[in-house]
Amino acid sequence: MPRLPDTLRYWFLVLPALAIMIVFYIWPLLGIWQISLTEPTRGLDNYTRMFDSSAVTTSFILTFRIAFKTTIGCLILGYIVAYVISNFAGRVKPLMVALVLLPFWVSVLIRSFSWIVLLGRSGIVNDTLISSGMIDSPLRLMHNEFGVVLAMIHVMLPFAVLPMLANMRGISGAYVDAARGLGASEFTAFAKVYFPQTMPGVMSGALLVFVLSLGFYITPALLGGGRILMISEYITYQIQEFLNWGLGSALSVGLLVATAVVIALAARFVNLRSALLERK
Amino acid sequence: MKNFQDMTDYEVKADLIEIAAHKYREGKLTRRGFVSAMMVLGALPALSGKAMAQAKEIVVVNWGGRASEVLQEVMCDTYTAETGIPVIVDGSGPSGGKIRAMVESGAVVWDLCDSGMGTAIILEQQGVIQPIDYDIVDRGSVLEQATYKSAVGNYVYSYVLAANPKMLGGNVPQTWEDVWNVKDFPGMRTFRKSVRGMLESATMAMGVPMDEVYDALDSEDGIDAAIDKFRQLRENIIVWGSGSDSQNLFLQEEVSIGNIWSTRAHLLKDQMDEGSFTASFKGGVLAPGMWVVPKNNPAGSDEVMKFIAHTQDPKLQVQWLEAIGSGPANPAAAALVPDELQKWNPSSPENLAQQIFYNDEWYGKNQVAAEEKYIDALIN
Amino acid sequence: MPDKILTIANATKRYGPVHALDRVSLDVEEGEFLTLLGPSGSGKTTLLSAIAGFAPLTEGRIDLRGRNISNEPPEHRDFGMVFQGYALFPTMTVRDNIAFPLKVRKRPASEVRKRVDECLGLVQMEDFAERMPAQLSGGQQQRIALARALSFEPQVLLLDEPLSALDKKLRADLQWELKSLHDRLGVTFIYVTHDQDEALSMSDRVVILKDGRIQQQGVPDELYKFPRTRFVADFLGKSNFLDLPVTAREGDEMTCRIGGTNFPVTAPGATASGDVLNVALRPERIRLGAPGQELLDGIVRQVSYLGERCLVLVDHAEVGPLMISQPTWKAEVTPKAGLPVSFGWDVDAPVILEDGAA
Repeated sequence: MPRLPDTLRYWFLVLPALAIMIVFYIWPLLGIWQISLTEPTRGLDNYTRMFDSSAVTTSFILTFRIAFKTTIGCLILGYIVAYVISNFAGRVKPLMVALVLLPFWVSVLIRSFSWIVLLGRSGIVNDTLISSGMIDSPLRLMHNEFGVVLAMIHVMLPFAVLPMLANMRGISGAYVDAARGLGASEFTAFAKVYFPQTMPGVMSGALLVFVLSLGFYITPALLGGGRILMISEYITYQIQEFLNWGLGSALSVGLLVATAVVIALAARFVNLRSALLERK
Repeated sequence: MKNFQDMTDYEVKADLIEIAAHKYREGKLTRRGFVSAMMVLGALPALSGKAMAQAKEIVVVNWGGRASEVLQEVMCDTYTAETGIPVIVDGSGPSGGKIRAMVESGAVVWDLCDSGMGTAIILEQQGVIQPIDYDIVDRGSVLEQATYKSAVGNYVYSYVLAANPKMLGGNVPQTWEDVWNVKDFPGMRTFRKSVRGMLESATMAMGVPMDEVYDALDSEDGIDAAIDKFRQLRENIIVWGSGSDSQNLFLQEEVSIGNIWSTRAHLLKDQMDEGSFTASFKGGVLAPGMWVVPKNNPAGSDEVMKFIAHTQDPKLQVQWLEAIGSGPANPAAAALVPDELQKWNPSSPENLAQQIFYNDEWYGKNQVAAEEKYIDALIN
Repeated sequence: MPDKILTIANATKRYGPVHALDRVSLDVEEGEFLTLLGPSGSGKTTLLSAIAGFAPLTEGRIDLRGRNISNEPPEHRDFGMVFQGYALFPTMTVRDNIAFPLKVRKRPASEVRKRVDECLGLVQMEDFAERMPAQLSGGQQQRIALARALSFEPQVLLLDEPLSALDKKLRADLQWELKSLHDRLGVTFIYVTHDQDEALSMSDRVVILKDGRIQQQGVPDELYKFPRTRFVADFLGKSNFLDLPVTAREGDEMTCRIGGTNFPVTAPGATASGDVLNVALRPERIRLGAPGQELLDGIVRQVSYLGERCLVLVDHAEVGPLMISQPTWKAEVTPKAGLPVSFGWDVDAPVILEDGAA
């Protein structure tokens, strides 16, 4: 039997995965593009409507703003977590990593509901504050942007921690020792030597959280009180409520393009290859 | 394609299922429920073979879950007991698109479908449903607004003004005007994440008399004015998406006032503490569910019409109200409703008199544009 | 006598029940090249870390020119340090790496630039200033690490196995360079290695550690020639270990017996007493001859040719196999497996060890 050329053999190996992607992802995606251009009439009507609609524009701005806030929150909290785990956890490190991963085993729905229990008008936080006499009437902690961002930070945190953790794991403690041995204070050693090395992890965490947040649906729907209408919820709304597949598809194409633009912009400033593939 | 805009309020139907599931806590998925679920997932051909084989049975289609079981028990099994004709409920969701596709492909397996006013009008225009035979079906046994040439009402629900007197210091809003009065009635309000039943209340809040609401809304200015009311109120608005959302908002005391479905109010009256929940049908919007019969249905026209007549039995409709809170389409049922439920029956004479009827024509014409403005008003 | 720059007294470092360092006392003289030598786990790296300030001592103290620095953080000790693996900062250019210690000391920019250029010249890496560390070979990285450690003119340079990652040829070259750098700069070097050749070839003084304790210290030649313990004799170079029964004793002169043969052993200052001497015998101190030419007879078991010399394993009925190293250029016999030979040694060749059977 003649041997196949090596490259061809590798292509055969990825074929099943590729086929699944094409049949169940790329193909339907193209279908969505097609729907956005053909329903209800052939042409760019859906896109004109999309750009003309003040509600769509607002929703896009809202989506990006919330994704941005979520990303910043996740990076700050996640960095601290990842830093402590990789530098100080010692023997409890596996436990701490497990605790970071734990939320993945609980559905986003349940995690979002638990925030409702916490942040509600008669929720745990308000009850505690009232009974301790710190406030008189309940604070409005959810059904607004604050609640949405808070819960989204919680949901997205592992996505920020894990890439940073993987990155920090690859950074030898010798660098900070070296910096201090050469005369740098603890802070200078961190700021000038450690932190720059964690940038790939920070960037991949940021990109992951930001892109996932752009398409996030459940948490804003539950905690936004309907007034924090992110674009993916808007899409659902168009399709489920109005069976308006044309505009819904156009919106999802819009979201896809916006996400692609974000990644392309990120690529101008970060080496994506090293940020996403090489964890060092 | 442009003229086909399916305006059926699928969510209210799904919501009925949910209520039923909640109220009847057996909760287990029965075999029939499972079959329904499979059909929802598109395993329709399985049914087609079966239905073709037994032409002498009637297949009634609604939106699945526990509501299918209630329909089966209350309406279908009683019919079988009377006539010996088997009636089977299929919960696969008879959307207008599916009905049309079925009729046009000549493979009709459904006899009777639970549809909505808007869809019924469209399906009639497209000529895919049969005229109702009012010789068999009693025109007098159904609300007159729910008698179309090719569709007839099967149950009703309302958008009602609900409030929590305890959170308002006993000061309960009586009118939609009060709902917009944040000074005297503080706290959050909840409205649906859709203009259905909402623009009407805003219009009434502007002082437009009940029977002129849709006239007022029949212009760009009228719609904008109603939308503007929401823009003014938006800092006090939490939006409900599903029926259970609205229920939870009241249960968790997130809102003190709301415009919610009567079916949910029906549940809340039992769930909330004494004196912390009221609902008023005054200025409410009443909407019916509609029976439609696809053309060339396998059981034949007469058989289905006889079954529809059977479902008009007021006693059965009262059972239906008790089961999942949806109101009888037959005005005669009102007299049979137990006293304590009278107040909560959307179609009791008192309640009918103070509500307006959901205008599907208006929605067909204006909803899409209005929805977008509504969202913009709420989020921008 | 040169001044002491560093005095280590009773340095002890415990990790739980483990003594990484056990009451180590050591003086380091101004300008010397001191090597801490030992197998892994001997405590040499711990000692270096303690000096650098990364691993605070459990007990004991370290003085820098009479100032107790035991509790000072590393950045206040002003030691240059070259790490195993170099630890060049990967996000900085070569220039920025070398400038780093100067910048954290807030030296003026012009001075930094001048000094970095000097240091690059010192290690002959002038052309690589703008490269990133990842673009350099191992040897080049090593030079940069050295330049970085020296850029701020530290009083002491600490080197933690700096050559261990390099191949043998390069390592030999760099040993010469390190040594000449030391001679030119006059900076005190404290050098950690597990490689005896490195230790012997560069150091002014070698400290041999084992299990957290100093085994022996001294200049390389003295250590090699007069190991006090079996461990040192074995770790520094190769040795044959023999237990020799003493038959007569007269001052430093003793007579020992192997098989039926008596022979003299000189042990200057030996404290050993008793009936049996534990001695180490360097392979190159054993002479190989034709049968009858030397005192003892044996049979060649195995020969290993190494170029300038060959190693010969000789069986003897009493003392077992002995390793003999013979220069190939003046061989008395050409050894071959199975060949009967004779062997012997000078009277001062056996070194009497303090400890018994190790």
